[in-house]
Amino acid sequence: MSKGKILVVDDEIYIVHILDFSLGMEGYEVVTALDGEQALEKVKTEKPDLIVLDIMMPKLDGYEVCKNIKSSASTQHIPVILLSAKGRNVDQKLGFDVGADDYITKPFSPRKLVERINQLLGQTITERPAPSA
Amino acid sequence: MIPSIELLWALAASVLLLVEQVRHRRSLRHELRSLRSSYDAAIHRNDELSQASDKMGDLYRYQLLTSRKRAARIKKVLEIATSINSNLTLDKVLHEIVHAVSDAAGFRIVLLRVLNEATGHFEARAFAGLNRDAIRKLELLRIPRAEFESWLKEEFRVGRSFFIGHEKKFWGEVDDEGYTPDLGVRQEGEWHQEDVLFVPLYTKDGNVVGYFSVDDPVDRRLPSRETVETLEILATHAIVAIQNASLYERLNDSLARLEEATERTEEVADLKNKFISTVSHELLTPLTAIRAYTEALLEHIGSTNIDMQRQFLGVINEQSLKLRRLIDSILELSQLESGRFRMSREPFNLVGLMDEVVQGLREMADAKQIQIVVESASPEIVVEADRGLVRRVLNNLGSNAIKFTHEGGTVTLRTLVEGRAVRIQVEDTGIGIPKEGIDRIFDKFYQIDSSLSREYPGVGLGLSISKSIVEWHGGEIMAESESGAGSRFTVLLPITAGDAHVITHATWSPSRSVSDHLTRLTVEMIAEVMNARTASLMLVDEENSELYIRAARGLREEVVCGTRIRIGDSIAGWVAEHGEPLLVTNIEEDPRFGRPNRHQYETKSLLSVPVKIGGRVVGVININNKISCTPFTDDDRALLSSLSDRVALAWQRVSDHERSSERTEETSRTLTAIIENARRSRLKLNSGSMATRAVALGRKLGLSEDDVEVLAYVASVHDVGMGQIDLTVLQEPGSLDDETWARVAMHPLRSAEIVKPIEFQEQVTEIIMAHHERIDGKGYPRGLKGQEIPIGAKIIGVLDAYESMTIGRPYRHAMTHAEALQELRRCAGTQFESRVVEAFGHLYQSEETTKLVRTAEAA
Repeated sequence: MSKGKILVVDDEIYIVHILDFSLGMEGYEVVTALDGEQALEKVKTEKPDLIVLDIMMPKLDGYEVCKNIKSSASTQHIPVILLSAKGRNVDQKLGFDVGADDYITKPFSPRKLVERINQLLGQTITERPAPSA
Repeated sequence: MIPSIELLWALAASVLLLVEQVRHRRSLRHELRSLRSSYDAAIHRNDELSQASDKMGDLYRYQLLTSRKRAARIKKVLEIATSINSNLTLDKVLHEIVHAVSDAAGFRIVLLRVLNEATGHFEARAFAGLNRDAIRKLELLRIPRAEFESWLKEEFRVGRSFFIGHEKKFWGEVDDEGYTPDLGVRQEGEWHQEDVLFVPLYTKDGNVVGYFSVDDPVDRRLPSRETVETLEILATHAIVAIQNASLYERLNDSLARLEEATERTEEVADLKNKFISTVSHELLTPLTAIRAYTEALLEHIGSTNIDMQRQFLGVINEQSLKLRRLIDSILELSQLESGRFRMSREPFNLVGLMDEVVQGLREMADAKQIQIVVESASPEIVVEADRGLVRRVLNNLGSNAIKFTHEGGTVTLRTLVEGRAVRIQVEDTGIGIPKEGIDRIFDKFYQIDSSLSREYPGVGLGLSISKSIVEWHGGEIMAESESGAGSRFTVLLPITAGDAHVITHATWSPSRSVSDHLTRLTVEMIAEVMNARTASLMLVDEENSELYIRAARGLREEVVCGTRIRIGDSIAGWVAEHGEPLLVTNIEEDPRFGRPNRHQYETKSLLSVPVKIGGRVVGVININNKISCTPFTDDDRALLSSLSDRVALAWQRVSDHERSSERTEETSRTLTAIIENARRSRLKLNSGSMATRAVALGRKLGLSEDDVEVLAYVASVHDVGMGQIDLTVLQEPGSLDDETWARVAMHPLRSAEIVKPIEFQEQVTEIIMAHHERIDGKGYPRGLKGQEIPIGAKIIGVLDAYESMTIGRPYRHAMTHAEALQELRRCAGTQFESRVVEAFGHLYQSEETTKLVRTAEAA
């Protein structure tokens, strides 16, 4: 049973993979996109419950994608967590200005990301799965 | 009947009386006539006198009137003069001047023409009393310099002005309809409509900057002395105004340049910030993966299988390696840029290295089905370079080409030998580089498009590193591309270290890169070494194809600021055009010497050499007024050419803005040391002739002209390291203590080290280092023997010894020339090379002969 559908957007394939893994282990269903344009399509087709969005991406950057999501009536309710190596305050502010719900700087801890997601989706922290699946 | 005697006597007496009366009346009439005429004359004179007295009165009144007017005019002129000097827009100033001329000198029409140095034409710049049509016609009419000069005939001269009366018929058939006023019929002594009065505007040093001409005088009279004087006073102010304005324009220009430089500095600072943020982003990306995978692995170690764990660890490993590569590149770049980098040059086969690099790239190319083509003119091209660094450049350019080329494309690596350089080209059929990015592609702070760099991973440091490496070798790297149609990167690499100076930056501009301080030092150095009172350094302004003075010694400020010479014109222009030195022994006889500022030249001899970078003339060095007041000779030409090559190298080295300040400082130190050395040696008796003797001796020993030039230069700088040694040690008789001796023994090495920053020929430093060696191996500092000592060093050694013997020391009397020669001969075969001493002996003989001849001639 899925706890919800999360769209993970990053142009770095390894990051997408590890988030897919960590969130999957947490019981989320994960859909992925490798650039901004792809992300907007997936938002429409997959109707995710939450979006983890990298900022520095080709074609359309994270800010643009976020602005787009937050300005459309059908998608503005979807929580967006921005993910970026840009840790400066000004970048964070820019993130909140475009309507992001949270901002996490790289390198990030997958556990912390999961906690934030759980919080935003109103979930309690799940028990860790028992050793040996 | 016989008349009575009485009657006869009476008759005779009356006849006599009659005759007497007639005679008397005649003389009376005559007297009367003369009286009348003198009366008439008196009356006439009286008339004349009264007329003259009337005239005198008029003249007096006129003079009174004019002197009053003149006082008023002068007051006006002074008012105008002050307003002119506080006013700096040229056109506005010129407008005021012509109106001042019109008011003060009383001419309704005034025209001012200013010489455009670039075109050599006088152009109409300001007008008074002319309508729009006339002004337009005058503006279209440009007076060539030569034509203007043809007007300056002595017969027309009035003071400093020129008056060409209509009766001279000087102008012939001139179509001047429209701007010559119709003055109606004029009488004798009045101004005629074809009369011309003009005042040339000369600067203090005799350069003409323009002239003004006047027409239609208010008083209808021909110009009086006062009128001409008034005009000339105003002319002086016009000159000052024109010079001020051009100075002001120049000031504005340099201000603009300064602003541009500031902007550039800001841009660089901005790029630096961007670079840091880019670098940190790039460093964080692999770190993010490492941290995320490590943490996930730790957290889920129990719930993952071994394959998954292996996969995770694989990613961590790969990302750590990526991080490592990134850090390496950044370090490498910073090291290359800081200049602390040590290069090890050795000869290797470039074609072989290229094959190796291609082998390494094969796998990457095969993955995208890209074909790699290698083209080389010959199977072996040996270059002297750092093999490892050149490999990095080839590898970087090659892998870039593959990275940015679509599947199935072609990458070509090509090598061609071009003179003393090798041209390496890496060509691809890839996505190309957009136009706006091509100029800055090597800029490490620059990324064409951040999204592109994400699509094609890499730090964007590869090209910057390659550029630094190529430049370290004295080479050049360029990129050409058409967006969507592929790119071509070209590397020009000098074949040996000594060829570094043959390659230049295509966009090299000395005005931008060489500081004022350095150019001043350069001029100073040239003047001191050449023993010239006047030296100037001109740079090529390519845009206007002109030469302008960048720095000078012994020239007036106005000349420095105001001189612009067209390429091809006069002596410096000729040198710039032909790229060859020019030695003029008598400027008055040289047709190229067309400038009127001859009084700048105390002596009639002038030497001018080009400064060339990569075969392109970038400037001209001129010297004249030799301190000895003798003409320059071919020996001076050899020495100055040699200096010019070093100047070119120094400029080139400092023009790389990345290391500019450090290299500028280093070069300044070298130039300063050479200047001091030249001043020191001038205090000695014979030093002036050291370079001359070296040239003569070199030629006598059959050295090539290139080697002779080197020798001339070495003769001037070989003891530059002596400045570091306390000179008093040389004045103490007896043996030196060990420490002092060690310092003295090191001076050749020290000298070589000082000149190194501006040196490109290894033989120069070799000769300097070896000039105290002895052929029996007992010399210093290295104890070289016989053939190990270069011939140049043997020559300098003999000249140096001769010099020091003939000038003497406080503890030793100066030897006579003959004694010194005898001493040299005594040491031939042990200390000195015999054939050098022998040649020197011949030289000495011929010098003596010349001296004898001169003395004989003088007597």
